[in-house]
Amino acid sequence: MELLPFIFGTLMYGSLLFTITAGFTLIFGAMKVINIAHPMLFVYGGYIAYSLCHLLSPRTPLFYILIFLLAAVITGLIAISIELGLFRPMYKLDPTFQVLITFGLLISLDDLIRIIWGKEMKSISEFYQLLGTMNIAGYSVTTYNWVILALSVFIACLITFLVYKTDFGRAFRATSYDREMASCIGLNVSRLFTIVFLISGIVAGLGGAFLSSLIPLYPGLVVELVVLSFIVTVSGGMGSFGGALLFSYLIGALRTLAIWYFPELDLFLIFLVMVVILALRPYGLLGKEV
Amino acid sequence: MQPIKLRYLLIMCGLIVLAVFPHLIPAYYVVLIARCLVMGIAGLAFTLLFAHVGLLSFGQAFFFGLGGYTVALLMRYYNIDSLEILLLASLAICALGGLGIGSVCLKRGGIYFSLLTLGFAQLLYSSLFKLWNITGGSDGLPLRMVKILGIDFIKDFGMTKTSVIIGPYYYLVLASFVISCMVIWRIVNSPFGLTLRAIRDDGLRAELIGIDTYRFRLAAFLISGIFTGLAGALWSLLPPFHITPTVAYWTTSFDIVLLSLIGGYQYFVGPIIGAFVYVFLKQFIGEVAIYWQLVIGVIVILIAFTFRSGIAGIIHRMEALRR
Repeated sequence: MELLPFIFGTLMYGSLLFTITAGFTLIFGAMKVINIAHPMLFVYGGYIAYSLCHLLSPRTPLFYILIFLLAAVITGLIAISIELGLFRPMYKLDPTFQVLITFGLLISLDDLIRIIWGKEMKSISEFYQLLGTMNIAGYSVTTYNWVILALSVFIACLITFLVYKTDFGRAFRATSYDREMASCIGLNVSRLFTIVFLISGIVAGLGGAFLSSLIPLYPGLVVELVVLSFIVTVSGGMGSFGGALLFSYLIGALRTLAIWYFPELDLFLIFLVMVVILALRPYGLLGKEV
Repeated sequence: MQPIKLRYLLIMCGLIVLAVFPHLIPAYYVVLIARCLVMGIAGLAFTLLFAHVGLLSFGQAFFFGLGGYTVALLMRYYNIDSLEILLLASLAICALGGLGIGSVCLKRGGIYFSLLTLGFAQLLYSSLFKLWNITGGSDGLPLRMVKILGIDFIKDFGMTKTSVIIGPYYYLVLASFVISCMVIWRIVNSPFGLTLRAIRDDGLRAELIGIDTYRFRLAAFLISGIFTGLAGALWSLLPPFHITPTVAYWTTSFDIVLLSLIGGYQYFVGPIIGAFVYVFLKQFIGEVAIYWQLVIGVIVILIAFTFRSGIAGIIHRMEALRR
C-alpha cells in the first residue's frame, strides 16, 4: 500500500471519528450522560450543509467553507434545543432510562432524515471537484485531503484550547471532577451544560459538513457511527481527550489498512483491538478508574 | 387466596383460547399470533436481563440472528431437516456465542454493556452481509419445511402447506412459548433469581457477601441468549420461509426492548402483553404510517419519562383501584 493514500485515508476516518468522539467525551465529562444520539449531530451537520449548498449553489471555495461553518452553527443550535428540551428534565433519571431516552431520540431523528431528505444517498461532490487535484512528488493528490488535514488539526487545537486554556475549560474540568462542589462555589452548572452541548454540536456539525464530501450520507448511517465512536471512546478511556484523539486516528489507520487488504474483516479488526484493550485495561488505554 | 386463583383461571383461559385459535381465524392471523408468541419468548428473555439483573441489552438481535441463521445454514449446507437437531444446534451455538461476547460485554456494567452488545450485534449483521458466498448476503437464505419428531407432515399425511403451518407448526410455537414461560418463571422465582436481584440492587454489596457477581451475570446473560436464540430459530421457521440479515440488525434488538417496555418490564406478563400489542401494531400501523420509527422513538421517550410500568402496570393499577 502506498503511503499518501494511507495517510489521507487515516486522516479522513480519524477526523470523522474525532469530531464525534470529542463531543461524546465533552458531554460525558461534564454531565456523566452518555448521549447515544450524539453522532446524529454529525449526520445532521452533513445534511444541513448539503441543503445549504443546494440552496445557495456556491462557486468559490471560500463560499463553501462559509456555508460549512454556517451548517456547523445551525447544528450547534439544534444541539442546544435538544439539551434544553430533552436533557434538562433527564439528568435526575436513572442512567438506564437516560440511555433509553437518547436511543429514542436517535431513532426519531433518523426517521426525520427520511422525511426531510429522503432515503437516497446524499453527498456534496461539487466542492471536492472544484478543488481538483495537485501533484506532489509524482503522486496526484486530491486537494480536498489538505482541507481535511487542516480541519482535523483545527478541531484538535480548538478543543485543547477550550478545555485547558479558557475559563470555560476550568469550569468544565471542575464540574467533571465534582459537580456538586462546582455548583457550591458558584458555577452555573446548567449553563455550562448548555455551552458544552453547543460546542460539541458545532464540532460534530463541522465534521459532518466537511466530510459529507467524501462520505455519502444516508438514513441508518448513524448506527455505524454510534458503534464506531463508542469503540473509540471505550478503548481510549471514557472522558479522556488524549485517548479519544489517539484512538480516532488509530482506528482510522486500522480501517484504511483493513479496507485496502482485507475488506471483509475491517470491523472485526477494530473489535479485536477493543477486546484486547478492554481485557488488559478495563478502563481504556488512557482512562482512569471511576 | 382469591387473586391467585383468578390468575390461574386467566392463564388457563388464555391457553385454551390460544390453543383453539387456529381453527377459528384465517391462516394469516395464525401466523401473526405465532409471531407474537415468538416475540413474547424474546421479550421474556430480555426482561430476565433487564428487570432482574439491571442490564440493558441492545444486542438481543445477536442471538436472534445467530439462532435463525444456524437453522438456515444447517438446512442449506448439511441438509438437516429434523426440527429437534436444528433447535438443539442453534441453542448450543447461541450458548457458545453468549459465552464469547458475554465475557467481553460484562467486563463493565451499565452503558458499556448496552453499547458493547449493540456493537457485537452489528458485527454479526455486517458479517452476515459481507460473507455473501456463505450467507447469501442481503438476499438471505431460503428455508424448507422441517420434520417434527421425524414426521414429514406434507408427505406422510398429505397435508397442505397451510394446514401444516396452522396445525403442527403453530402448536410447536405455542408449546415452545409455554415451556419458555414456565422455565423463565422458575428461574426468576428461584434462589438464583433472588441472587440476580441482589446483584441488580447493589453489586458491591452482593460481591461483599460472597456472591461471584460476574459469574451470575454471565449465567443470566447465557440464559437470556439461549431463549432469544430459540425465538430466532422459531422465527426463521415460520413463513415466509426466508431469512435475511435484518434479523440481526439493530432494529430487531430495538423491537425486543420496546415491546418489553410497552408491556411493562417489571411484570412477568409485561413482555407477553407487549409482544401481542407491538406485533399487531407494527403490522397494521406499519402499513399505514410510513414514519413508524419516528413514532416509536417518541413512544420510547414518553415511556422512559412517565409510563415506566407499561400496559401491565396500568392494568395492575386499575385492579388496585377497583378493590
